[in-house]
Amino acid sequence: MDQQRLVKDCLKGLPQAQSRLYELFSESMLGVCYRYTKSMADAEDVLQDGFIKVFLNLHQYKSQGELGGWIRRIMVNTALNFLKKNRPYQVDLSFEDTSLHPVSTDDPEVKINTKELAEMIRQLPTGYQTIFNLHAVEGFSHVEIGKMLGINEGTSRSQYARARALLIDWLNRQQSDYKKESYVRPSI
Amino acid sequence: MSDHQFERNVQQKMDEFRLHPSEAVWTNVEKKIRVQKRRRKGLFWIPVLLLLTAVGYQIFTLKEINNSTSTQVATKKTSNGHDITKTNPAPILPKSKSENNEKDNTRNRLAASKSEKELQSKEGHSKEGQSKSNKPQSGSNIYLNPEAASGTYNNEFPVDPGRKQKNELNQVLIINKITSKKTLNTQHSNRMGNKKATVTEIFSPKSLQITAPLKRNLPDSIKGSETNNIQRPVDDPIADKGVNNINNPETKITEDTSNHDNLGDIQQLSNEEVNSMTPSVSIPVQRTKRSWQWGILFHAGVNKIAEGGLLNFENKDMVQVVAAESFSLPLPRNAVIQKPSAISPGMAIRIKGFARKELRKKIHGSLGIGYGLYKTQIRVGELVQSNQAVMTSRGLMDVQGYYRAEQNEMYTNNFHFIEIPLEMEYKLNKKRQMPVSIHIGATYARLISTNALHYDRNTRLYYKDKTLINKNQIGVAGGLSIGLLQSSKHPLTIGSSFHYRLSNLHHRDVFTKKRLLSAGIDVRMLLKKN
Repeated sequence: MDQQRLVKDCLKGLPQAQSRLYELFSESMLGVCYRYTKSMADAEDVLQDGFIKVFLNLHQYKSQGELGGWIRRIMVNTALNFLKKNRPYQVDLSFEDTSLHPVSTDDPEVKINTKELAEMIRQLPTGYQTIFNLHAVEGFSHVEIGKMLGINEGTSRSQYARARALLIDWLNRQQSDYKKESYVRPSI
Repeated sequence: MSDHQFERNVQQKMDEFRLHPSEAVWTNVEKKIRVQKRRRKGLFWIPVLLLLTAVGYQIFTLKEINNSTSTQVATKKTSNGHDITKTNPAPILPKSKSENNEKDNTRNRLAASKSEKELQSKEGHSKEGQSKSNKPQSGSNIYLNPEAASGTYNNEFPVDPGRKQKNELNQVLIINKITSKKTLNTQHSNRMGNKKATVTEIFSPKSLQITAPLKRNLPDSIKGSETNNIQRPVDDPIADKGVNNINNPETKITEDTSNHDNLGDIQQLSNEEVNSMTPSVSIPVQRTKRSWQWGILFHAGVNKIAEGGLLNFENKDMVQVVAAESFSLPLPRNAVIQKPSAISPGMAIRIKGFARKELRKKIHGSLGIGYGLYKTQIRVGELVQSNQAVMTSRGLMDVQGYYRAEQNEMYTNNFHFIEIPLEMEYKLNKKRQMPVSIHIGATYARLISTNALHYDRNTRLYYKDKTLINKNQIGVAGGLSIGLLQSSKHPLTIGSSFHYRLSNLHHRDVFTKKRLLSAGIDVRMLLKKN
């Protein structure tokens, strides 16, 4: 079904259309929500709130843009609000410039599967995780991230660099473990 | 691997990343969007329904007033071609004998309130009996009942089927509307000197008028078969039969013989018939005191924005720092917060129509609907007509046109609301001329329009976004008033009042607590007085 037609039907309040829209985007959007949160239950909460916003504000969607992109933007914003509102995340959501993690310059190839990569991103501290997601995955510039999170552009840059370094470090370790494992593994 | 390659790889992998949500998510989403939409529809219809109800009630009430106070003349053509005139004439006084003598040919029928059985039993036995069948039977009597007193009257006269056509003209009952004691007293004072109401019945072209006093509870003697004081011409056959002089000081039934010359069938009433036409139901004289009053209210005052908790009226930086606050994560220590200009108080105007009802002796309740305009002012820089990305609670947004964060000129934020206030009024003193009352109430307000500016501290500019304002708001109100011109047709009430919104001014996505607070002078005018 054409997406514009689908949107029109949803605006008319047709349950089939609403269900269809949800089916089309729910899986990919849960992937987005999952990257910003620390548990599946939280991700589903964000997804639920996000889709409620989508349906209630669908009249604001302008058909020039891509529907998926518009929904994704709402999901990201909902996830950011969720992080701010929920105490467990607030504690971990710090942008102070600390050098807790070593910075690696080796950029490993991302050979792990998507699930493993997503899990790895979620292992990052919430602040790093948020900025990494916004910059590396969503494609926001540091200026935009600064505006979204109310922080300086420089802070966003430094936070991202540390998140990225930490992630690369983990990827390198995982790949070296994999090499060792494959090296010692007897050939059959 | 370069930075971009790494990001591209991550982005590519994450775009492919999908997870299947549980069934409960869609169930909850579906449930909530249904509820939200229903609530939105309901909120839209509440003011409409209230308005329609108020208008309908007003029309109904005006009609009732017209019926009860004005003299009505309605002419109706019968099947025989006669004009039947229903009048609400001036109160008819008991006629003197000399007056009655001038109208010898009068042949009237007073409707009797005998039971149907009694009338039927008389039917066919004699001429007199036949004549009885011409008369209205039970249930078609003159009803001095509450309905008549409250503005309705019964004009149905079941008659003997055999003489139905002949008696068609006799089937019009006109009962004067019973007006208030005061009105009647004025009308009668010259002649009677006492308070009376008139109930008139006209049979055929001849008008038979029965005057009865306004009385809430008639004595038992009237209700029973005892003879009442019915004044008739001396030569009236009814009078000859000794039907007159019902010794009731307040109840008089008078036969108007002025237009009875052409009556063909002359029928006489027996004592029993006359007796039976006496009123059996009490007549309320005055309208109940607890009826609705209608009025309008005008409020003019000052509006400001209170910030913080419910009872925190401290005036702080008032302009919304929407973008930063809606997404703000803990700020870096060295972060420099750009503050917007302070908000100055502005004007508050409210106009509403209300319906008011006495609930207790000293307590009135009122419900209304109206319009409210609340203004605040800020200092802004020049208007720039170009696109700019700002951060709102819903993410980045392009705004077309914005104001620079300078202090050059004054900008007025307007908030337009439709309001539904519910109010209780307690009278503090017993003075009728200058009653002092205290008012407390609650208000539901729905934002219909705003041009309020919001501040983006990152870009240091002011922009418009009405979606950031909370559209549905609940508030409380209180005040003190004093009544003026209480004896006039439209009494006035003047007083002071304050209004405080319990709901946040901004949408819940915006993490600030700002509320509208206004105070000023109220002027109420009653359009309809009890």
